Amino acid sequence: MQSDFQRTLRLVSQLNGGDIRAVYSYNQAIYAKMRDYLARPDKAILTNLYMPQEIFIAMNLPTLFTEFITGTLAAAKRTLDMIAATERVLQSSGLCNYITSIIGFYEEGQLPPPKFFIAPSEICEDPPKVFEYLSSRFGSSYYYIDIPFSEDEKTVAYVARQLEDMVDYLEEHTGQRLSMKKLTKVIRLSNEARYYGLKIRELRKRNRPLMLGRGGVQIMGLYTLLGTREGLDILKDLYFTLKDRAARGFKPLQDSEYRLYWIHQFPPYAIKILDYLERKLKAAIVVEEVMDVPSMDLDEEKPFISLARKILSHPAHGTVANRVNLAIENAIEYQVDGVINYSPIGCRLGRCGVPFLKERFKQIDIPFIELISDSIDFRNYSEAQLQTRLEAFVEIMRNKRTLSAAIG
Amino acid sequence: MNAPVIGWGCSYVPEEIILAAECHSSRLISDYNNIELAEAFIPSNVCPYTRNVFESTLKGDHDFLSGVIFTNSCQACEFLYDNMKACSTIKFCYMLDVPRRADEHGLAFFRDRLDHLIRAIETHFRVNIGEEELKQAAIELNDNRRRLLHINETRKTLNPPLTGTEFTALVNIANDMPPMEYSRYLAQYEQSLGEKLGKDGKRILLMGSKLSHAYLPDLIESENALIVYEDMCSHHRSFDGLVDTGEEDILNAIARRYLMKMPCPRMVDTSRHMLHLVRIIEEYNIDGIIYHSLKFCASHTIKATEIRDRMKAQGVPFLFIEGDYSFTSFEQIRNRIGTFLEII
Repeated sequence: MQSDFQRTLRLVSQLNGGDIRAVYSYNQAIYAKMRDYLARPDKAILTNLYMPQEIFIAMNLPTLFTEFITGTLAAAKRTLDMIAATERVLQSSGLCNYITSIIGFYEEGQLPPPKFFIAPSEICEDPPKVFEYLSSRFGSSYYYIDIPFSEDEKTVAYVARQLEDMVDYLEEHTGQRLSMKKLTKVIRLSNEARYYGLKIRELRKRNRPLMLGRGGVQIMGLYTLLGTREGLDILKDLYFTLKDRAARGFKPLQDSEYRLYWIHQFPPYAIKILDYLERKLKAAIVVEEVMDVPSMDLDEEKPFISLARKILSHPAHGTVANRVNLAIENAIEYQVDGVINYSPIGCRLGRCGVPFLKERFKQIDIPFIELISDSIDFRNYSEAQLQTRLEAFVEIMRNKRTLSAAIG
Repeated sequence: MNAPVIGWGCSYVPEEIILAAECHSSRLISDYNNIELAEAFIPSNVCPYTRNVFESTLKGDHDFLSGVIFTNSCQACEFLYDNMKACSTIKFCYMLDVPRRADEHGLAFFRDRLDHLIRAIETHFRVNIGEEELKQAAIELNDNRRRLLHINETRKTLNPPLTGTEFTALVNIANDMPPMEYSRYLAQYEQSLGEKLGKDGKRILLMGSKLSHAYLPDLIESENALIVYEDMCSHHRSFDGLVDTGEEDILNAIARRYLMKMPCPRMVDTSRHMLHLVRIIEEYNIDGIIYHSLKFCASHTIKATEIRDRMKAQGVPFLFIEGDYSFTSFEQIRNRIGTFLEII
């Protein structure tokens, strides 16, 4: 019998995705990943979004990401049971439930535990500890990649070495060998997909909104598909769709007045509020932090080194200044009128960056607002409250524009 | 001229390097009940210790510091570093990478990071840190570690000569004096213990991150219990393990001591800490465990869950309590501890 998660994901994969086909294709790809996980649990890996997936793809190991699981169930408002199951185990509230709820997910038996829990200590500190606990609870293997704070060449070498060790470990425990030829192929696919990711960014920079912002936040895990044929096809398709729209002058939001930058995630169950923002309040999201493209190509001659660089160059890695600088750069390049930062209640990374972001956007006179809500527990969500705040924010942008016009 | 003072918050910061630079070393502590200024910078869902320390900084309590060494021990430490760098007047804010893997790659990387730290201190404070200075500092700190280990051992007895409250005061006092002076203090303290017989009570193993004040041990021990061991960063993890001063590469020896000491939950550790706990429970005749975690600490909270499960399987009573690094909620905590002690 299928579990709640399996049924939900199958259903989600059948939805048309709305504004852009990429959302549909993305959901299809995630569904295929889950089926692969179920078909080969003795080789399955659970990891999180900050882990470079190219190695797993090249080794042909079924891989799921925690964020897919909680995000999918949250979108369908099917999270309450796993939250309750987590609360029965964990002795404290207040941590990131986007991650910790995975404890309840496996406690409930929604999927069989994977053979390996693999976590990098990158950016978010909850996954390694959650995975460590789960591996001890269910007798799975736990593999940990230590990601330092620094970003110099010695750090790159240290991380690269761990990735190589991980391959040895996986080879020994799965019997699957990593073919360097296959890894090269995966890296080429990854780079090609990145190329289309960059082109999408360029298109969105210089045009009126070509897609609904809800599409962008819905495919936040898209870059976990880098290195696969599906990932390349989705990005290519998205690029040609948007290019065609630009050429035809097609605008999904006919009369949008404001351009917005959306930082961090969005509560998946509350996608309706984005429609309200974009259609009713006429403020279109033109750039999303989660759609940022990896900052460099992978080097097929030095795969482990370049994968290590990819991890260390993530904007949320290291000092908060990295993330803030990128946000400012994006806001200027996309000529946004305002910035919305969504902070999940339990996310320390999201909330701690806010004072810095707020200050810097104030300096360049771009209105900024932080919205706080619970990413997966819809009982802590108030749509009316969020609407009021968004209305007030749009009013600030309107007043600013009126004032600017008045003083020339 | 007064020597510069360098602050630190995590027990993975090698004090040897600070002392070898002829600087004073000072653990960052703070004791505000209400967070007022720091609230605007560090949100309320972040480690209360970090918020409290930053409150102190913003209120000028850390103006005596010439530098602070942070570690990437946890996310909250990283946020504190970012905020200190942006908002404090402390010129030398250094982030030290401490590997989470205590294997040969981790050791080599950590040695390199320590070398980098030394160069940064030398440049900023215009000092030279030589091998001899490092070795001398290690000898002094080793001496204190040995003495603290010895005093800790005396608590295995039926009527230990000192209480947990007294031991907490003893480890915290290290912050008020240089190592040599502390060594003399410890020597006198050891002598004063002699054959002294202390109080009796239910024997408690106190676990968690850090205790900068003795209020929690005092509260526990006011309830007919006796803390005989603290598995904490401010206690055992700060004096466990010695630097091998005979090793040719002294920096490597320092790196090894810090990386190989009893791990805190941020480290990757499959069994070492658990085996240590089993040994402590037996040797110190533990009746129950009280695990005190700071709110929002992912490492401790989740680790405590695993330990609770293991202890339950072994029939060792276990109580988890959370604190916010303040002096509030005494009575609620007292209530929970009282109930726990009754069921032991």
